[in-house]
Amino acid sequence: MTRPLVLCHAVWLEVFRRRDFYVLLILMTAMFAWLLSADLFGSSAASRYVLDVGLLYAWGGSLILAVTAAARQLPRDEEIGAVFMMLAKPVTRWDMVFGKWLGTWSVSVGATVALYLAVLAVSALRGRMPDAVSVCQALLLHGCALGVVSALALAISTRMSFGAASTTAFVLLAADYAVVPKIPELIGGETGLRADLLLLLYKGLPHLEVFDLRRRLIHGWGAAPASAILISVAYGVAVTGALLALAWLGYRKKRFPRQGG
Amino acid sequence: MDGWTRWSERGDPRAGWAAVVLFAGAAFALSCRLDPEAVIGTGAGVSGVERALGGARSLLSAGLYERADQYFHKGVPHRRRAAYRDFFVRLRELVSPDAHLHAEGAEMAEVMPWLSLAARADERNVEAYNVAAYWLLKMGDDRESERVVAEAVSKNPRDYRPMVELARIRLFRGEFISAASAIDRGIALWPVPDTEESESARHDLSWFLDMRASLYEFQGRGSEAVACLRRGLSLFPARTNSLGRIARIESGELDPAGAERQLRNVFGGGKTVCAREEDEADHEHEHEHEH
Repeated sequence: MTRPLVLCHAVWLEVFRRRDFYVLLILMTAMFAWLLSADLFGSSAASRYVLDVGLLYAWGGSLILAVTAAARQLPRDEEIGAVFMMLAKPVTRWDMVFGKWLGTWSVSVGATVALYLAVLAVSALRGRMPDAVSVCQALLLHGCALGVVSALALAISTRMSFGAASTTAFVLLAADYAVVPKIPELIGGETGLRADLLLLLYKGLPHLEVFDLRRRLIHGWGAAPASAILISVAYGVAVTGALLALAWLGYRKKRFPRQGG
Repeated sequence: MDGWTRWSERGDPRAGWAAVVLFAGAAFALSCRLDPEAVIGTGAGVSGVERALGGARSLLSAGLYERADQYFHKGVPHRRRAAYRDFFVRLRELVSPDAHLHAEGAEMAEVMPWLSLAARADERNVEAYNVAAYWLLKMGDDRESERVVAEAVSKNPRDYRPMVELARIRLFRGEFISAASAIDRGIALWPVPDTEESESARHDLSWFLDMRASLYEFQGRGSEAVACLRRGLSLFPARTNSLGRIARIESGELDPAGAERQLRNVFGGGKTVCAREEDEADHEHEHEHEH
């Protein structure tokens, strides 16, 4: 277990060196400054929209961070030759895959916690604070979604360059967010090949919508039933495990020719 | 180098085809998110730049307006009925509740930012201004409501629709003479091009005529009141309740007190029927027919 933790630590150092997270925070500050200063039909009593936009930003920002961080780990190590140094040590391919995933997942969860704290602080300034149980549930499920997304991007990156892997992961995420939750409604009016394609998407892509508790937080619906949270967490762990296994299968026999050799 | 990595990094034509397929997927995903009913400005007087960018602005505005509708329904989006309910649909319903509830009282203030953003995104989205003005008035903030209507009028000077809310504000305050001038202006501007046949435009004209008839009756001008009522009846011939009123006024029995009561009832009984309720009623109606 120590070897994946060392790799995880290396991912944290790399992310901090690249300053991705600072960019997210600066953009968020600018967005809040605009939202809080805009004249919105004299709605000084309104506060949900701040929480809503902030949480949407936290979701978007953390997903972008998870995908870009996960998709670049393995291709970058291959590009700069660091992979030879690591594999010369007693580090297995599974250690590499799991350590990189652990690093990118924990970095994106850390960023998410920081973004949630910032959003909740601004929302509290506007006089709205969601209940603590709902916040903890939302963070837990958000973390599960980031685990799935990190594993997905990592699995794709075992067989593609960083650019191709991150683009593919973003397109899959866009389909996941925009199409998959609507398929049970869309499929009613479809037949033949279109219906088959929609069903393929529905069965093949992870269901990130079961990790999204924003509606409960923003509109005060209260905490979700514990059974639903447990099922969602179990689903997230299962999908993450399956994607990591797929990543390992794609990486375990991969050859790394030396650059210029 | 590994084959998969090679084709994605170098100029292999397969990478181009993969990109085309991926972008087609992204476009498909995006098209499922955008509201197909958004109005795109194509009328006369629209500049080339507005034509190019107007569609995007209208779509953005329609999306923000839809967000306001979601806030009115406590965050629940308008969904079509699912063809099936599997494990994931049931789990999503547990995680994100989807009961049909409406925001009430002070909660309506939460809708305002989205209506404001929708109006900022597309200044021709008069619906966003009008809904904001209506709810601000209903919350008792007639001053802010009037400011919103004034903004709508300045951005859309040839549109009759802001006059509906302006007249409502004036009636709410009991300023009947200025309400009459807002109604007359609204009737003069009616309709917006291409909306003569729309149900909501005819409802608006009918409301103008009904209120104008009451104002005339309140002032003791029976023949003008009857003319308004007859014109309103021609829009909706099935509304036969106007016939009794016409007969009463024509027989010389004017009721200024009754007319004033109607003029002060600016929210029409206070029941707000949302489109989703109508959809649900339609669905239940269809269901009854199926059986």
